[in-house]
Amino acid sequence: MKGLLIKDLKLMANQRQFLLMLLVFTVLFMNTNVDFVIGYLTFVGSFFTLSTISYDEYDNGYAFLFTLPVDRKRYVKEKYLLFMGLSIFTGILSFVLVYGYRSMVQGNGRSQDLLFTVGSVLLAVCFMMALLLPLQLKFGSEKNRIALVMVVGGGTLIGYGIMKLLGYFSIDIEALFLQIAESPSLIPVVLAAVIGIVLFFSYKISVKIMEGKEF
Amino acid sequence: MLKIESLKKNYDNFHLDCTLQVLPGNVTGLIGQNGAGKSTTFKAILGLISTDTGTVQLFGKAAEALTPREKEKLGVVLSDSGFSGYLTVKDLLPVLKNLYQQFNRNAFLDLCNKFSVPLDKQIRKFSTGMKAKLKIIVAVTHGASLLILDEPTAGLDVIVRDEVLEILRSFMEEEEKRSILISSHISSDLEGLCDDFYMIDQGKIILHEETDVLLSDYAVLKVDPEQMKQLDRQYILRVQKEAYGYKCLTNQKQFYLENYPGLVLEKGSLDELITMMIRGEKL
Repeated sequence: MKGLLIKDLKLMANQRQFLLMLLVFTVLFMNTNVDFVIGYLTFVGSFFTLSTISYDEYDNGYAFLFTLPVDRKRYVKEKYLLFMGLSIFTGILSFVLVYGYRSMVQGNGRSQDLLFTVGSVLLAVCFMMALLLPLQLKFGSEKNRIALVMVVGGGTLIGYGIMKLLGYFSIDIEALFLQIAESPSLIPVVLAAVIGIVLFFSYKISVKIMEGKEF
Repeated sequence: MLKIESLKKNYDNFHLDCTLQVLPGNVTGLIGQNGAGKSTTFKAILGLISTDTGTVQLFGKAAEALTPREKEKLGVVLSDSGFSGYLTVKDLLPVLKNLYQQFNRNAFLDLCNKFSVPLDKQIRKFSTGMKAKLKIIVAVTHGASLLILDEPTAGLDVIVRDEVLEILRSFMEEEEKRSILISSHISSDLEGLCDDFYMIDQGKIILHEETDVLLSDYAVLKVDPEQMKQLDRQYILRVQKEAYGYKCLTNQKQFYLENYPGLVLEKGSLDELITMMIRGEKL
């Protein structure tokens, strides 16, 4: 697993232009929109995991990869660990950059709002990756975009259906949301728990997808 | 070392049915035309495809039950797949060190140096020969006991092919119990390397023979229609019609040398033998 992680980090390090672009955007938006800086860095950084899957897939690379002392479960585990590691790293990095900029340039060392933004972005990244990783593994980079549109469309329809169903059984969904919103400390906990469960199932599905693949 | 029994894989237009064995200390060649089933066999051995029936045993254990640690004993070269082209050889050093407990960094770098494999260049910018040499160098420098090499010499010029074969010979000389299963559609590539050969055609093994026997006992007889009539056909494996009469493949060269002194008898290269086995008719 460590070997695979090093391979992916080496691939990332070789994308100098990409990293440079990331830095330029960070500097450009530092003064105007810190939320964007945090979101951009964390999303783009962790989305690099999807690029590593494309690299693995490119030129029939999977076939050789699975002749190495790596089984498919470990491969999937490595991708999930990579994205979590990258998210946390880029989340912390963006916090440090923005906080440092505020303290040194603006003389304003506020951090509470930054922590909230980093936390929200991290949860959003986890949710997106829980959706995107199985799709990328199943469909590859070529068909993944089409699959994503279908999943988002399907998800919206299912959500709409659930709301209608709850209405049918006279369950007041708005009151439920209001109840959660009135106790703000509960929101991150509930969200984190839900996303944790989603990630767990996403991982299980990804393992199944990879174990069923032929190269 | 490797034992495949009644391995079957069915596709719409292709059916693999393979039984073969690689013994400790042996280099076994799997030869056949493009599309004969060589790569499918390799993929089945390596668990890259599912199979319908049959068993594959590696190191005395079912292949699918091998742990990653046990898989370290395998060195694999696939003709159409390798490490990402966006990595350099230098990038591979820590990757291999962490994948293989017995990765020999010095031997790896020595071989790269000896065979002019650049360390700082991205693999995608390598020539075909450089890529082939790198794949072999990776396979032989992490303490593998069995190499599984699918067409490692495909598309190589004579010089690079000989370099690849030289690496393989050194690998075999280092330890007695090491084995290699190697495939090629050009059998002369492997003539001086293999101890025995399996010939595969349309998914089936049509011949298994030791190299010494192939080279000493097999021959091609060239006969006119009259000679054909008088020929004892019990040791004729295949017959092919030619302008002058018939070409006959035998595995008892001595018998025809002694009993038909006037016959034209050619030793025949392995490639010729394959052609005869595939294109010729059974009597």
